[in-house]
Formats: sequence, C-alpha cells, structure tokens
Amino acid sequence: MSEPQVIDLPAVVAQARAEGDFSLIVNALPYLRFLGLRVRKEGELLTTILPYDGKHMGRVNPSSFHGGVIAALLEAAALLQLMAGDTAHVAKTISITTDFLRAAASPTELYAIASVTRQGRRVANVRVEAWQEERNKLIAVANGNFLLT
Amino acid sequence: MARLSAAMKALGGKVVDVGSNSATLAVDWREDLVGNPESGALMGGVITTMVDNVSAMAYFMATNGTRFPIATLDLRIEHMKPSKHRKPLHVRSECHKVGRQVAFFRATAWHPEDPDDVVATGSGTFMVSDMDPNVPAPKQQ
Repeated sequence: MSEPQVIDLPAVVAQARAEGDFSLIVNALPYLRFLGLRVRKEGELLTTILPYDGKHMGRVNPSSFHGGVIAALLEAAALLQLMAGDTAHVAKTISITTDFLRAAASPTELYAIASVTRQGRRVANVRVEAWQEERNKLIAVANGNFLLT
Repeated sequence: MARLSAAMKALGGKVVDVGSNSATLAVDWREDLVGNPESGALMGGVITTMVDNVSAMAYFMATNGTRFPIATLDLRIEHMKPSKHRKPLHVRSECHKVGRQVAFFRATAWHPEDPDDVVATGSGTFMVSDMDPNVPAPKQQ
C-alpha cells in the first residue's frame, strides 16, 4: 500500500459528536491510539487523558514523562477540542509553543483541557493546560495556531 | 553519548550523526505514528518528541556530558508542511548557546530524499543543572 489509508474522517467525527464518544476519533487517529489517549466529555469541554506507561517516559529513576510526549498530549487535546466544535478534519498545526512548568514525575496519568481562544474562518488559536494529581499544579501549558482549511 | 529515552525508543528513533554541539536523529515512517489518516502525515507530536530528545543530545555534545540532568523549559515547533507518507524523517538540533543557567537550541526536520525541503523547525530552552565548580566550563561556540 503506497497511498494513505482511505477513511471517512468527517463521518467518524460526526458520530463522535452525536454519541459524545470521542474515543471513536482517537481510534481513527493512529498516533493518538499509540499514546493510549482516553477522552472524557463534560458539557462542551473535553478532558484528554494520557496513561502512565513506560513508553512515555523521558527519564528513569525517578521516572518522569518525556517532554515531547507531554507536548504531544497538549497538541492532541487541542485537535480533539476543535473536532468537538465544527472542525471535521484533523486541523494542521501551524505552530505550537509548550512551556514546561514542573516535571511530570508522579506515576499517574496526565490530564489536559484545551480552550479555543479564538476561532476564525481559517485559523484557530488554542490554549491547553496539563496536570497530574492537582488541577492547580500545572505540569505544562501550550498555545498553538491551527489551520482549519 | 546521551542515551535514547524510552519515549524515543518507542518511536524507533536512531542516532545518525553527532557534532561538537549537535546531533541528528532519524525515525522511519510507521503506520501507528500517523496523525492525519487522510494524508498519512506523521503527528506533530512525533516531531516534537524528536526535537526535544535530539536537542538534549545536542546539549550533551556541547557540554561533553558534564552538566546533566536538564529540564526543558520551553519548546516551540513550526510546521512548514505535512511530512510525507511512508518517508523517513530526520531531525537535527544544534545547541548554540550554553549559559550558566539556560541553554538554547534550534532544530530542523526534513526528509533525507530532499534535505533542503524543510518540514518543520523547532527551538527552545533547557534549564541547566546546578554547576559543579569542579567541572570545567562548557565549550563556547
């Protein structure tokens, strides 16, 4: 197979919205599935959850999540939140800046919530926060611009 | 040489080059690393993980491995174009400044078939570990 896999992503996104089940989208996006992401929906807001897993670690003894994997979670949370809105495809990341505030050193899952700061016709600006055990002890924040068309 | 982290090994990363203050990593295209199934492009997060990891290696080279561990303070990635379906990706980082407290890096991603066609660029900073007075000062570039 040399061509990308044929998938009707807009149909998957529509079904996820209708059923409020965003694991359908995670299952359709290979790298999100590779990360083992889970999604919880409360109202319009999604919480994206990255499991604690040896393959996500950047350091051992004591172990902590790899910065790149944390950044990947934040980006995925932003893309999923856009798909919970009216974006039917995977938006293209133009730029994303991640600030790391403390080590993700607890042997527990990571949570991320994205909020769309501004959505225009072509570009959305999204801010994301991630934490482990305490919502107000942030592990990382990210701000990204995403191309919607 | 700085070792590959578990997260980098999980992506199948390989070191292809190192310099006095730089390093280059390669990742082969793999179906489970795709972020956009409609185009076959790798997820941005794959490139982000490569940039973070290869930059730590570049820092290791720039400091002769004497000032670990480090913590990433910030990391910015700009995607010029989606990566190509089924093509391996290389990411090179250069640690161009190591200060007493903060080190700076910049990175570029490309497909080896066309090194001039940049897929993404990245830049960021590391917090340098507290200096040991017995350790020689880092090389200045």
